[in-house]
Amino acid sequence: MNGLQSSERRMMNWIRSGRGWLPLTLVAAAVVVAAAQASAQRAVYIKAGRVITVSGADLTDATIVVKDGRITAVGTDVEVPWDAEVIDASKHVVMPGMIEAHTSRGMGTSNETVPSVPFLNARDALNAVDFYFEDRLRDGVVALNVMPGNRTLIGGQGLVVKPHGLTVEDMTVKGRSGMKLSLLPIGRDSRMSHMKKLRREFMKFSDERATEAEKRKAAVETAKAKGEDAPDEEPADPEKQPMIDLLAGKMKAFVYCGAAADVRKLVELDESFGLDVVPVLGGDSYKAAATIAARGWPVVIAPPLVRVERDEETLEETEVCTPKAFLDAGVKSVSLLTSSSALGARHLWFQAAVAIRHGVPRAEALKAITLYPATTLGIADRFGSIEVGKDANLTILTGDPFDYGTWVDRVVFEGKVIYDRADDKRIARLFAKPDPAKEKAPEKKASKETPAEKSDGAKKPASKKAAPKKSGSEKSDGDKSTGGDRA
Amino acid sequence: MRRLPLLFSAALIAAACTAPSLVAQASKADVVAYRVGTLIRAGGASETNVTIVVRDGVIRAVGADVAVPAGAREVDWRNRVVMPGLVNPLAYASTSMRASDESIDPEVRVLDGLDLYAKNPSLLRGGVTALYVSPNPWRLVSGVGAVVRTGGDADARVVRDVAALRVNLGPEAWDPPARFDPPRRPSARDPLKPATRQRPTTRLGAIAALRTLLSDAQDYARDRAAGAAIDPRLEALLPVLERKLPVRVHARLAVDVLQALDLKRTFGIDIVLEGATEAYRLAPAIAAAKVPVVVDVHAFVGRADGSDHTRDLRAGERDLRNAARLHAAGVRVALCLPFGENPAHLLLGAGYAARFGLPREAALAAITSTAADICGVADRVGSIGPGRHADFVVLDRDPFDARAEPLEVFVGGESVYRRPADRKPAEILAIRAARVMTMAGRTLGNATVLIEDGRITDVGEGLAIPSTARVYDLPGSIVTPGFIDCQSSIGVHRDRLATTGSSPTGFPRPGRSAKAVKFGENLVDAIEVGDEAFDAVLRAGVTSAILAPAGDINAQMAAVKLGARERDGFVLRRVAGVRYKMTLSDGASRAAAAKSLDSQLKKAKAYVAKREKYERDLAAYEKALAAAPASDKASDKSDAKSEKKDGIASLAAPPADEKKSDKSTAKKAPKKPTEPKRDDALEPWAAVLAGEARLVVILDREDTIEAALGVLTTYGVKPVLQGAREAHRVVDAVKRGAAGLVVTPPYEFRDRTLGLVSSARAISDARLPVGFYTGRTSGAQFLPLHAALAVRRGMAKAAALRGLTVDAAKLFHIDDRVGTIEVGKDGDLVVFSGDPFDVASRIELVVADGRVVFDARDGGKR
Repeated sequence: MNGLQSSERRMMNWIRSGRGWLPLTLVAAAVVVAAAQASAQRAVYIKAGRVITVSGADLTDATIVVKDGRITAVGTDVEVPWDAEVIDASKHVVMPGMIEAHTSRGMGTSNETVPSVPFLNARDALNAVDFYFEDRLRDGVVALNVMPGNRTLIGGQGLVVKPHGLTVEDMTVKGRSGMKLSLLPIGRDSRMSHMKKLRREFMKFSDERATEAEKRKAAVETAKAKGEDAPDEEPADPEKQPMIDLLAGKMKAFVYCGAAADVRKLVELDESFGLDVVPVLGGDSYKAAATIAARGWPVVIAPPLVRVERDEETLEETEVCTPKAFLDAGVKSVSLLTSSSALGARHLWFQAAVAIRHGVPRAEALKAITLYPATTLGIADRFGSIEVGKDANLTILTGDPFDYGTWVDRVVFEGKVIYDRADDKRIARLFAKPDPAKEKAPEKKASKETPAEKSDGAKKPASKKAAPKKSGSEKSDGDKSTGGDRA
Repeated sequence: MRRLPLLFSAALIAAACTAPSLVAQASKADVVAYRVGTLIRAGGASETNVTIVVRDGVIRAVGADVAVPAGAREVDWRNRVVMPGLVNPLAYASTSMRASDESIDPEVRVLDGLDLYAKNPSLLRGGVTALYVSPNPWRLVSGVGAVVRTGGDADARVVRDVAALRVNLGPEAWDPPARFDPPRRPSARDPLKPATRQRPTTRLGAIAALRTLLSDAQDYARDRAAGAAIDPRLEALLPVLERKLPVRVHARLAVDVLQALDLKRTFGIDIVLEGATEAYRLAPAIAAAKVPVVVDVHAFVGRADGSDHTRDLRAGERDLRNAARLHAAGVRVALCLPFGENPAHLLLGAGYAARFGLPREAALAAITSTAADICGVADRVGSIGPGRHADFVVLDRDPFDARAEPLEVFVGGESVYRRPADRKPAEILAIRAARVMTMAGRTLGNATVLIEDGRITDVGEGLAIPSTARVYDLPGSIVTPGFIDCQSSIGVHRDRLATTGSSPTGFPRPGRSAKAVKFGENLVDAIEVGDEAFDAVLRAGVTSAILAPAGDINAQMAAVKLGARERDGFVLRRVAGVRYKMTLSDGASRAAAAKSLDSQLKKAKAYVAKREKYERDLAAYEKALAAAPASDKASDKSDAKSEKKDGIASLAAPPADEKKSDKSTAKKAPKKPTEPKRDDALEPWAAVLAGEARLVVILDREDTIEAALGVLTTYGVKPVLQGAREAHRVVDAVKRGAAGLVVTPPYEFRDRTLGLVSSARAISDARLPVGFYTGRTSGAQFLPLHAALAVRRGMAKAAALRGLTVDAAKLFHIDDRVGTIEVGKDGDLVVFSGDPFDVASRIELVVADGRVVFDARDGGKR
């Protein structure tokens, strides 16, 4: 195993060193060609062992019919077009593709050192061939909101992408998802200085807008007095347009709060300027859950999801599960985020599993990685659940999403398979047996269990997915069997 | 004039923040009527027999005969004093102390740095429910302060977000940092430029800078009205010019006060004086200008006064009657504590001001209603009246009584602090297990152990469990008494060694020579109760230990309870044993070793004999004294009486008294015997001879064992042998002359003729107690493992378990408290999932002194 890991590391180094770019690009190009051929389809028909619709009840042995990338029918008794292409997931579980409501990865340095840069857009720094996106696709994610990082004042705009495609244009799902603000002080600033600077920015922009509006009004009036037509409105400075849109409520404000104390400041900002707020919450922000619930904001929760609080008086320690705290306080929409630093917390399904373990209902935890982030990002008309009318953006799993033996088998985007574990060269290489002779009768694969058996496994979520130890021994057999399953 | 629409207005924020949380709502919904004996409503005056009706966290009615709504919960406080929650008119939060780089920074708002979710237990304990939190004192204009509540619903804590602009005229503000903005990559084209200096550096500069600032603000106000672009820095000063925001001027000296009054006149602004050490000198002027003052009471309650105000001219000339004199001149006065002092002592501080002439009512008002008024929040906090947020403090006596500590504090009708009861009710633990190995007779099956107040109160099969008991139902498990380490240096840490190592009062380092030992020293004096090193040991089931310095050196040994929380319960027996080393360094003969043991004991015996003689003589003397004439007795009695009466005086001069009594009795009575000098080095030995402490002899070979036992038998001392690797050769002699053996791995030694033998096993098989020890500063948690190894090496399981418990207790005379599970013994238990010596058995629960110190079911958290 060690040898395998080191060979994987060597490969990664080789690729990172630049020598691997050409072959990698060729591989990627081949994938694109394959996808292009598949796009000639008219209708697709997905045979699913189990469908987790998220919006409604789960279905067993159900069928999803997709036309032109849209879901046209879901159910157990659905008429299938005779010429439909079949995606056989009859032994698998189909769920809506997972969505990450906020990330600052995949774009190198995520913050400009100048603190107030509302005119920036993460699009310009996005690295389409970053391994990050490849990894997220492998993990069953279909949409990510890539935003500037938290070490900023007004950090710039973000965009929603799918983790597949060779260019930013290919990847883009929604070109402008919102403006990034952060209430976390940077550098030597105190919370007070940071807020002072933020107020300054808003006051200046707000004042400028008011002045321009007055000027315009005056111009219109003078024109009217002269009996002329009102002059054409001057186009705004493109550098200022994002701020103007933000203040006009045309763009969401994703505001990072590093502590509960920051939430009060967010309330003040909202009260003064009427923003369309999406709080991105870290630290002990859960203490402000009631305040947030009263304002009806959707929340996006940064890891760690479980915090240990120590009472300074009694020295008693209590464990708080932040998504549960928000749901209990009455927050309607809770989206979970991943962290690059912890092994398990890299996976959205793991984050949801942690929430379930600490008492969040399963249905809510599922929504927290699908429907809620979709709604928060304003893409719920296409993403977040398996319903008629939505895009067929699906993740096909070998078992229950919270079973630690489950793999992402395929990812479907608008009815096309954009990821297939059978074709995942990197996984294949990672788990390849150095000496096939040693391999004896492999265990039965998890995917061959009945769905009922699998749901038992949901009770014990753990980071098995990230630890390739056991799965590795099953791998080659699993590949064969999934390959055989497909028509 | 054009202003931004509704920009950060105070009212708006307050409205936004009053949306009550869902949780708080439920607890506040009920109606409560408090029947109060004495009420201090506002202004410091008190009324008696008043009823306060509170609904939804707001006071609805106050008065002697108010109608109590039907269904209201009534609270009887007829023997209580209720006053408004205290308002501290000047405080600093740690975050508000972070100064910005700007010398003049009116945009800074303290509220942005405050955590309104903090619990503030120390403030609430002092009855302080609201604070004006000031920006830092290190800048000329350091920002805007806020008034906040210290407890309750976080969304209702902001009382006033923009309360006052802080100006400091004192020398603290005369050293602002130079502004420096280095280029990211300095180069020849973009070099590092010198920093720009900032003013002020003198009082002269400070006043000039302030005047410039305010006149700039006046100009800006005009320009802004004419349509100029916004300048956030000057914009922040507009409320000051409009007299909507007062300026808090920190003016310590009389000259600063004059400057502040001048600023007020020139710019027509509202000011509040802070600090104001010398304000009393200008009291009439301040009163005429109608300027309120926040007076520093200069009462240092929680710490020493750091400054030397008698020498430091910049600190001003203090007068403790400052507040009284200002009040007398008609100035509105609020009281605050000195910079750096804990604001929780506010009530004491006000009492101190009252001591120096401030009338009682004014002093109470100065920390409640007047303080709130000066902070501009008199309509929100600082008084008890209809429509007010229910913030009040409940006392059991007059607020200025020295013992007046709040019993309970309410914020928004919610109890946020309650003084803990002096004593917690005794907790009863009930532990049910498959087997209880009492080690005092039989093992009980399916039995229960009840522990109350740290002691075992009942053990048996089918006991009734009290309803209040915390029950630990552990079916299939086995309970044993807590284990005893027969010798350990746990709790002696490296740093403690470094500080005590060779100092006169210190303890020998481990492995030092016997010479370094001072026999009068006892290790318990160097070890802290509840040392963190004990935790791991307790978790392994070891609840008691015999403490001795590490290494084979002569020393006292003390028996301690590792789970104790206080020193009283910690020391089980101060001198439980004396360790004596008989193993020889090179060159000395065995005969010499025995002889030196003999001489040591002889010395001890002589010491004891001397003391016994003294006691006999003293008894005879007292008898003779009792037989003496009545007059003498009377004088003696009166002597004793006077001594009792003025204890302190007589303590100061005891020799004179003694002489006097000597004289009076010299004629007839025999001379009072003199008490022999106490020798700390011999006292432990005296305890050994009296059979109260155990002698632990470190020895190895059979001849040494025999020689030692020979000497000790003549003194009637039964020692415990340590080491004794050849004890198996002289089993009979050991059985006759010794109390037992203490061992540590390895247990097996290569005997010169018998091969691999275990003296521990041989002695144990001869039915003599064998205890286990670890003997180091760490590793006591492995004691049960040591015993398990002894079992593996052939010792009987029962003997090994006795060695961990009852036998060890008996060896050190602590079996009256520990070692067995019997009624009256200490509540020390270990619960195993299976056989205690089975490697796969888990420890389920450890109880020490009736306290659960380890519970496997909650992941080992206490």
